[in-house]
Amino acid sequence: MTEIYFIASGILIVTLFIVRITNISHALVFTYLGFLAWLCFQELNLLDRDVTGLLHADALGVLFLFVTLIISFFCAVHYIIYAKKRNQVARTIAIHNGSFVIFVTAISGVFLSTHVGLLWAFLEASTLSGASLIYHDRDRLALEATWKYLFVSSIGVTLGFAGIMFLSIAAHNTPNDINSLIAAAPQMNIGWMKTSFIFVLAGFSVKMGIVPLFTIDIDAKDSSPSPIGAMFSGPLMSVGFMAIYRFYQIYCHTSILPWMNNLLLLTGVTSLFLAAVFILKTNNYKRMLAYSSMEHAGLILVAFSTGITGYLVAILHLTLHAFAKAGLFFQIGQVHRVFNSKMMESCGGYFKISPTGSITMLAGLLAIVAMPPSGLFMTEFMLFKSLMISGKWWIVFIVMFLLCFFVYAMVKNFFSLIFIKNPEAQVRQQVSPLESIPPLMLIGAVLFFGVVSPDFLTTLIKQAIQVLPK
Amino acid sequence: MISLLIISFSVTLIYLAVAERMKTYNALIAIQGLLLFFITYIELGSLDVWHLALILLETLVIKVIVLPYFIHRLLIKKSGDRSVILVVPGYISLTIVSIIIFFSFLLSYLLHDQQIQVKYFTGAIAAIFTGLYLIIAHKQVFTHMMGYLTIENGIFLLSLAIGNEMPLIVNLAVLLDVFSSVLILGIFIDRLESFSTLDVDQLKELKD
Repeated sequence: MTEIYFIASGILIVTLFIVRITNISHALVFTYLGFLAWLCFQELNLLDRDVTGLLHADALGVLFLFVTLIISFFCAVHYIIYAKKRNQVARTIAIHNGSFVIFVTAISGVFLSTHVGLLWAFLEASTLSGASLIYHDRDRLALEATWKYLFVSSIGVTLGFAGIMFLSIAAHNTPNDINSLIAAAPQMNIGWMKTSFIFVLAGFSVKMGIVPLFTIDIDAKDSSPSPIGAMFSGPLMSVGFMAIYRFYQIYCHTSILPWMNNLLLLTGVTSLFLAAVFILKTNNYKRMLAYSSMEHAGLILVAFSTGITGYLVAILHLTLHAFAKAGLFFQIGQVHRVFNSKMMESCGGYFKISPTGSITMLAGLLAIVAMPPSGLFMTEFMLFKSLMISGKWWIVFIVMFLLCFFVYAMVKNFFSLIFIKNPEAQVRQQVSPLESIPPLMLIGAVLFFGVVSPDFLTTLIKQAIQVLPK
Repeated sequence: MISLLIISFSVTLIYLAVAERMKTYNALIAIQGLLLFFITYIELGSLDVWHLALILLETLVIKVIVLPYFIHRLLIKKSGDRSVILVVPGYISLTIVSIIIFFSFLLSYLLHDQQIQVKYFTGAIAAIFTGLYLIIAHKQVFTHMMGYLTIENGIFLLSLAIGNEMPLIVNLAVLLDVFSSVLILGIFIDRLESFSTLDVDQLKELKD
């Protein structure tokens, strides 16, 4: 099945780069998304069967594939508006759409890979296509962000490859597919496993947007078009998580499990701390959202480090955050168009200009700072509960203290954008209220999940974490 | 024979530490590719024909011919063979790279792992750390790219040190990625040059 999907994607990618008629180009992107939807349902149906091969998704892969599909769909819709309102030429649209399809194909490839080498190859492909998406505006800032992203990401992914090599040393002659590696893990050398995990965590941090290689991720989200910022905060963060998770999955049945958990906890808390410092300093709305993503990535790692209750929390948090942040990025893209600026000093009084947009932003604020009824409130509540159960009271205090900074920064900046009139702010363009429907749907889903927990989601997550230690 | 080739590979690392002209860097990276080709040819003679052809394609065609030609054409010929700015004096870099090689050698011996071959492992670790050092110690995007290529060569040698085979399709995907990443990096260096910002100090507009 996956072969058909990749062949179809390949043909569509080539066609997208050749065709310079805008409407056909957009239609081809939706055709591709149709193939992705078909793949998602095929993989879902195959979950209970014993399928072998280099490319097939497990429960977590299927969940992330669905998240990618939904956000990609909204992203494609928003890009049509983005391109139209900014009078983009057909060539730019063709390059963007072609790169977008490569990017989503590479992301889906990461979720499907059952071989660590292939997973790496798809990760690198997502870097290369991501660079082309960041370079969309072709100005000096976009070039700076693209160069930094491309270079640091390549170094990060190469370090991750060194991690795969160290895993190969630990595994001796075991084939590098994940199931064989899980079976061989108890006999592996502890030193090599630890070295491998450090390299993988440091290298793939570039994709998840956590310490140590988080800076370029912030620049990328800031400089790329808002729909792409949504892709970087949602599906790409899941890609980084998946890459780290695969290695965790391989090593988790060995004696290094507590060590790995401590390392994830340290990385998570450090990411939270640095994001808290920077979010107070920034005067750019897109960068603020990017630091908020880093905060949530840190929380996900903290949750994951707490073991069995934390696994469920981490994956659920990652999924819900992807929807909430994508919605906010789409909405902030509209704010950018209205004021022709994403800087805080040039925006204000948004409520009078766009009540629908402002309500969407307030709903998004509620969702992202984890206020009830946000689904993220449930996950953060469960996170603190699992931290308390595992006796890590001091971590609870540190994390709660750091979260106060995020709530303060987000509420202050969002309120000043929506309610405080700014004489510097000039309205450049009116935005139709209808454009707020997609972000409102995504944010609404996060608020809805806080009240009702859909069986489909929890069953998939529970199935995914079955392979982890009890 | 293999020892001689790996020692030559290490010598190129030392030379990289003190090189001043863009052409020298490019030539050294091509020489590293050639040495890797010989090492692979001697080491992997027993592999099946497709695997061997793919690895030889990666070393001889891509690392020795295509990439150096591409870098020369796009970056060196266009801007003239400029000398790079050495932020750290040459003799300090020389000392640091020598220490890196010494410690890589020491580390490989101390590990005593049956799975790894000491000679390859020394060269690989030395190349990875020298590449990282080149990136840290230089302030121009051209030398950063040379550092990246050195790390890539180190990783290639590391995969030889381990000798764990990957399926052909995976090898092909990895090769394609490495190749396209260097091409795309080169294209963006070219774009940066059109903005006259080949010094990373000028890439400071994105900040809070």
